[in-house]
Amino acid sequence: LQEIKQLLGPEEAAEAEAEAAAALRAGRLAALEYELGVNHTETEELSAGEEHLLKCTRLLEPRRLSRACVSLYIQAQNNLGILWSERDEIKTAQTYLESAEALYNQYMKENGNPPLDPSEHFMAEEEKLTDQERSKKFEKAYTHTLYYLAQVYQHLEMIEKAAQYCHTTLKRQLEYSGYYPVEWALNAATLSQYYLTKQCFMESRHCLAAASVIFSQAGQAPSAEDNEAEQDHQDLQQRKAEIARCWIKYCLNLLQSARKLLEDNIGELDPDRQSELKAQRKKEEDEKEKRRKKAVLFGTSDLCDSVLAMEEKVSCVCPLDFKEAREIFLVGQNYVQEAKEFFQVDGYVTDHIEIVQDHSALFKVLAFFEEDYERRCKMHKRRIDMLEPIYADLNPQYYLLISRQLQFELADTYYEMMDLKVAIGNRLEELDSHTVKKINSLAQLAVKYYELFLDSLRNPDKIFPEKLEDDVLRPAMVAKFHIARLYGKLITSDGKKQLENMQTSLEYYTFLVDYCEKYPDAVHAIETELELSKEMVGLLPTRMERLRAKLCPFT
Amino acid sequence: MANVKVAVRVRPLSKRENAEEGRIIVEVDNKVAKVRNIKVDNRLDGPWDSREKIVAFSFDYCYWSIDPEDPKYASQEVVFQDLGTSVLSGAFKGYNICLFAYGQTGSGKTYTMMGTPASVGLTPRICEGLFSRQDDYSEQPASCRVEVSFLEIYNERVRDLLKQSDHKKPYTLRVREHPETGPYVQGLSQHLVTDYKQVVGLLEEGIAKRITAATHIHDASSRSHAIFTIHYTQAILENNLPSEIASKINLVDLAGSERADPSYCKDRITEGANINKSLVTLGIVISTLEFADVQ
Repeated sequence: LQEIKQLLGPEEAAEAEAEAAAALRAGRLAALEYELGVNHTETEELSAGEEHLLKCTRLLEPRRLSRACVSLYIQAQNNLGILWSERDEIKTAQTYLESAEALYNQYMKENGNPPLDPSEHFMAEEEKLTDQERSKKFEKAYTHTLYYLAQVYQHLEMIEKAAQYCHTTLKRQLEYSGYYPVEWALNAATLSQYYLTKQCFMESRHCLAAASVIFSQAGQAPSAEDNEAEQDHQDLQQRKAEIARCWIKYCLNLLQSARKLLEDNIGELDPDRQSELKAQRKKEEDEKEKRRKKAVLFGTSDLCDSVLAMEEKVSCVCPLDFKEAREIFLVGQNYVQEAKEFFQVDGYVTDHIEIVQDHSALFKVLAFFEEDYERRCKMHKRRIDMLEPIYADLNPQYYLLISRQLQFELADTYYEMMDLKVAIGNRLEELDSHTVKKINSLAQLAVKYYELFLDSLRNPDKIFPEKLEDDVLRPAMVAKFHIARLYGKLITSDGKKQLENMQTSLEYYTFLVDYCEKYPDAVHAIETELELSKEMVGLLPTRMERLRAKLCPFT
Repeated sequence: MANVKVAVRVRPLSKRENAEEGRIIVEVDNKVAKVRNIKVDNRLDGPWDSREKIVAFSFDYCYWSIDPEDPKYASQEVVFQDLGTSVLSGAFKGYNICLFAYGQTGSGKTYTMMGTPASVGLTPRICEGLFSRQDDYSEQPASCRVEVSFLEIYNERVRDLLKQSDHKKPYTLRVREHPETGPYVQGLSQHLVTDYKQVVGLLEEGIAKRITAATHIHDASSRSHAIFTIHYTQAILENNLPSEIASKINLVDLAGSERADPSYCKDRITEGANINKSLVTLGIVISTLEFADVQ
């Protein structure tokens, strides 16, 4: 490169030449400086790299908006941005990249013609590129500008902007850069998950729909002939299942978001809020249309229709009643089946169980919308049916965390079911023995699983820890609290048994109170439960005395 | 309760470092390793800013292996006496042990783990230890079974280094999870060995099959992780009833931990605030968005 530079001769000679020739020479020199700069940067000689890249931009500065120079100028700025990021000066990197971005926009507005590609400086006339090729290369350079900016914003923790730029990068990959369908689809699906964290359901759905459509472009891998091809086939199936999992999260998040909007302070559906939101929704119809037009959409024209068709299969607005919730639930359930096809228990324990947990969560949130208590109970029963068998087969030695999660979820579900049965029972004239049996059995099962969870915290010598770790503190306390409450709910006509239950209940409430006294830091984790526990510790002994007196009146 | 011990070993200067007249800035003092920070800011034009700062790190074991003539020199034997013997004693008791070698390419991981024919490393010595214990046992002949497997992880694929396959490339395996027995590598070949020579033979066979890629720092380094696993089962009599003690020893030689240089390792990304040049890494950038925004 240095040799070519020598051949071009000293800069002073440029004075004597005509303007056009001088410009051409400057352009060629700049291209060389650029290559030298990039070379030095890649071999970690940052100072030298910077020197050459700055020389390049200086040469191009007066003509940077011209067709001959704009592309090279932008690429030089891209590389200066990268260079400064390697020096950990991310703000400086930002200025170079944003300047490149501004230049592109200005050029496209004022000129717009496909600019010359830097490589053309050293091509013979017949080798020169077509306008189409030039445009492609130019757009690719700009796509990289945007991609680098996305990373800069990420490092500066301007996450929303980073996501926006990632989104645009993806869009441009479809339009200009060329892409691998499977990889693109996976990236779009991952971006959708980001949008879920921001409750941007329209954008999330759009990303997922595009992901599904583009993925189907990947086609079938050739049938497994050798080991490598089989591996590829497996990978393809796995990617498909992973996209399905992203859809599951979408449906789940949408339903849970709706729940948050609709629930009252005891976690039940508030009918007033429901009518309020329904009325509001009618008004927002055109707001939505405006938003959609503004949004960054993927879509070359042929893609648009397929993506739209995909989007129409599921809503992107929060459901406000059972009917709407059920539709979203069913979409989610379908994707559960699809994901489980690949992520089977035998082979993918962790993934499989996470999918089943999501399925259980779908039922749980759907139950919220269901008014009828019996039907609600049935939904919770479905959760038990899918979680219990998996839990039974799991070896906690290898899957401790999941094992604990399942124990807790099973306990909570039985607890929920018990509460529902009690509510149903309260509506009847009097409790029949069948309902009583049911309530007790559910309570016992809930206790069983809470106890299993608490046992999992014991050390190898079966001793319960003195002080609980932060990550298990709240669940352990809640487990103790619920067990206390459950023993209080058990129904028995045997007075002696009732006393025993109350005693056990008292012991568990006392544990909470004592623990929080010993470790005051723990209080913030279970404030509400602690309050109630203190009350019960005060009340129970008196109640027990009264019962004892009733049973043995002659002592 | 996990028992974790960390050791550091200082290697001699390489040919290249000697040629460039590199300075040794590490010092070892019993269980503390000290590093002298003599960073000179090359953006400053002024006089040399020789801010020498000494940073100290403490370890469970520190090995000074720069010069064999040095009285403080820690040889392969010394390293084995500390680390290898505790691996063995754990295995004899039925514990599972994992030994990791971690460090930059060219820092001497493979030398420490495998060694050279003239100076064998931890892995062969540990194997020898397993077999020689057998012979020691004159009173109660504890019969034992030793099975080994050797795998390599490269580019997200797991390969069996001991599988006799027809193709030139080692066979790709899948990592699966079983609900009862936990995670495992499906189809990994297990080889029963009865003496030390066999083990060394298998080790050499496996090493030969490893995928190596030349980096600009070290000639014969590798970009893959290698895990040599020994399943050690002892048959014993406990209260006059036959019983088994099974332990697993995992000897792991990790790939070079250095910052990937984009011009040489194109499919790895750089850490820190550096911008990744290729769109190949878009997926990684997107996936960190989800967790970056904590409200």
